[in-house]
Amino acid sequence: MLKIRDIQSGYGESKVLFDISMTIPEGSIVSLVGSNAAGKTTLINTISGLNRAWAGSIEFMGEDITLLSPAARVERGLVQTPEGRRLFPDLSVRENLLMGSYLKSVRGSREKNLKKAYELFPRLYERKDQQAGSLSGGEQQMCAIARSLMSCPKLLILDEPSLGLAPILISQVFEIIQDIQRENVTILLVEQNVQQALSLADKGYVLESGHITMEGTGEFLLHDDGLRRAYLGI
Amino acid sequence: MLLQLIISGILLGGVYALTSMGLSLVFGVSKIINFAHGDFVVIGMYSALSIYYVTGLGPYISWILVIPISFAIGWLAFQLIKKTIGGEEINQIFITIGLSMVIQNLLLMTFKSDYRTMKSSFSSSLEIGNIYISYESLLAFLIAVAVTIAFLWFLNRTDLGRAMRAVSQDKDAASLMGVKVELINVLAFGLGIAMAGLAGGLLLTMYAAYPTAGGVYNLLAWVIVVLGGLGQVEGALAAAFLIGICETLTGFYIGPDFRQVVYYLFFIAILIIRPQGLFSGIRMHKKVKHETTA
Amino acid sequence: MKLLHNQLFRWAIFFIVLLGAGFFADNNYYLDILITIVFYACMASAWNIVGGYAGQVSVGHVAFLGLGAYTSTILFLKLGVSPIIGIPLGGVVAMALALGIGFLTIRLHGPFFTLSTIAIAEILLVLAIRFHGLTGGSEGLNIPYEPSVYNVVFKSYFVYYTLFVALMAAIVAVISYINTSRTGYYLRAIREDETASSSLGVDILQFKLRALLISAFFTGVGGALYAQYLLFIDPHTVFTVAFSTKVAALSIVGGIGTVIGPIVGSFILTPLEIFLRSQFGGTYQGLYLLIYGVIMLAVIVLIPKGIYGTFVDSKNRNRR
Repeated sequence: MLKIRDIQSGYGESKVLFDISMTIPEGSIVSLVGSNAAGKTTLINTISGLNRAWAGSIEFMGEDITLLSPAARVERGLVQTPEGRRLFPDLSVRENLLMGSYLKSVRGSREKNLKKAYELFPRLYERKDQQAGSLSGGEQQMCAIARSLMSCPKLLILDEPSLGLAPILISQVFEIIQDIQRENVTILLVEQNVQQALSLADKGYVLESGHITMEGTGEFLLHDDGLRRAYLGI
Repeated sequence: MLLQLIISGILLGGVYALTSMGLSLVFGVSKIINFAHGDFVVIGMYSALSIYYVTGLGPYISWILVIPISFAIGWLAFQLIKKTIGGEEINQIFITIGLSMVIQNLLLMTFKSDYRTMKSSFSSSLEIGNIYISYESLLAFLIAVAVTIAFLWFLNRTDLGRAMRAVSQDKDAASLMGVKVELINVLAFGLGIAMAGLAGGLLLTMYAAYPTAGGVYNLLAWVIVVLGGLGQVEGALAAAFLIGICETLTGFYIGPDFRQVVYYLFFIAILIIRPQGLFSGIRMHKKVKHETTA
Repeated sequence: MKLLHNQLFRWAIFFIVLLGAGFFADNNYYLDILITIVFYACMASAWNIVGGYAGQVSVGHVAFLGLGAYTSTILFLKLGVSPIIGIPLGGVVAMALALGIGFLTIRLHGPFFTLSTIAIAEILLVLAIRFHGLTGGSEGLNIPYEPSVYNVVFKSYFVYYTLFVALMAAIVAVISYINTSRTGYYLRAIREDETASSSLGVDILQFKLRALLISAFFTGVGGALYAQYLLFIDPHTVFTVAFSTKVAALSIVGGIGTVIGPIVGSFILTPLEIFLRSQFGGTYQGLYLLIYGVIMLAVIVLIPKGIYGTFVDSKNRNRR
């Protein structure tokens, strides 16, 4: 579904990503793990088009999207839920969700998607007229994910969905992610929560200072001694 | 007399609301500090005047034409201003100041420095008890109110309006929803200028036009926007009426030349004491404070 | 140290040539042009201290100019105090105003500081018109033409010219001194990265305030001296915001944040202005300001560092 080849990118004059290549098969959950400042967010912002790729190519569903605008990528079904939720705080929950279906191509299924989102997250329905900025951390994460689902994603990129959430909420979020996958949405999950991210992943990549240092099935990576020492402290 | 003054102030405030909501929109969405906003008000005045000279139509009809003219001028101006977005702040400030110089002096060369007013097409005015309201300013006020309502509806109820609000809060997140931020910026700018121009056209029923009036209207619009809370469109609306009334009251009780002094003092005081504006909630506090002091 | 001497030498030559030009001009028409150029160079350089170095853009600097001018003129006309005392006192009063303004507004984020400076200049304009008894209202004040050193009124334009050149030398000296001092170092650090400097414990506001005070002092002195030269002031000349914009434009066109930029700006734009005014002033009122505006826009879009700034950049690039 998504193939990236030898991607390089960065900010200003400093290069952050060095020749990254990844493949995400359709229908899978792929986890990207790595420590802080490894370049995870830079990488997915490059995939979403917020960052320009300095070199390399990105292919989505057989089409080269390297030079497309973020908007054009969303139109094709490549949707990102950014780190830190990034809701529009002064817009109501409902308005935030409506923003998810801003594009003409998905506006037709707006009502249907809205209903589905409220079914998936009843909490959001209760708070639909509240300003998004007044939600709790967990509710905000739900709202951010629901907003992305409004765009009819084919590939959903989730950046640190568990960040800052209580453990009980974290497992809830991971359950929801699996529910979404069951609806035929491919998922790229970026996480610091290595244990959980890898245990539900079909495939995992480890990013360290801008290089992919390891890849394999989630199972395989979870049992790798080096990785366990580095990230799980075992 | 007091009631008369307050009513005149409200009529004036309705028109001021238009210009300051336009400024608030531009600032909120594209974060451009527009020091030429008042000059676009004056362009609106001269557009209405020119239409009047050619066709004899008054501002309460020509406003329909003034809106697209101003929008087009705003669109053009944005092509220049956008070149400084992301650059040094000082250049962002001076690009609109430079623009203001160009506009004022182009107007001066074209229309000369005379004060120009429009002859009233109504021979009488509305009389309620001992309060007089000129039909023209009443019409101008009603048009302003109608456009304001339409604008608020647009901002709150349409996808494009919602996208503008979304961009003003987080443009990266908005672009992740497929919003073309560049396009939203230019549309918001054009719309903001269109409202300024419209306000200018309507103001012609109350004040004379002269080429350098932009300086006054610019500061006026900023006073209102700061009073209302930066980027808070509804706040600007409330502040506009307050300033309108304040202006007619000081004009009468202290002297017409002191109209501006009073609200300039008000402005400085607000910037210092309550930078988040008079009408914004507690939650805005942190955000705006950051914007004004960072 | 050698570099400093080198610079000192160059500046000395510059000022000697400047004075020489005035001496040989020997014609009041040309001297007037030179005086105007140097006056605007002074004002732009003074503005640059706070606008360029401290990064606080004031468009109300005319308030300091007007206050300086009114202080010395009123003291002279009403109390008979010699402008020899009145002129520096004008600077001090402008500085006092700057202290008041700065204390309240220097903490405001860039554009809002700018807006508040405009508001202050506008307020002073209205007050100057209103307090008729003291300021002569809109008609302004005339300084009688009675040449004497005590009156700081001279027959020869060259004396005025020398005074303006001396003021400019003083401004250049102070800026150069600031540049090498701790204050200059911190101001540069603040301009580079305000947040980082603040987290390092640099008291940003204090340094910005210092810059504003110095800038206001020189602007006030310049205003008072200019009043002595014109022998006339009125609110619309000395409190009009357009003056501030013009002064800022000179710095921007020349190159802000450099010692030479504002001088370059004045030497290019002021003669152009005088030419345009004399040629088209009657028929096309506003033409010269229009051209000012267009030049300013062109510089901002095409060479945002200004003429001198861009020149330095390209020289450095070649050296590399």
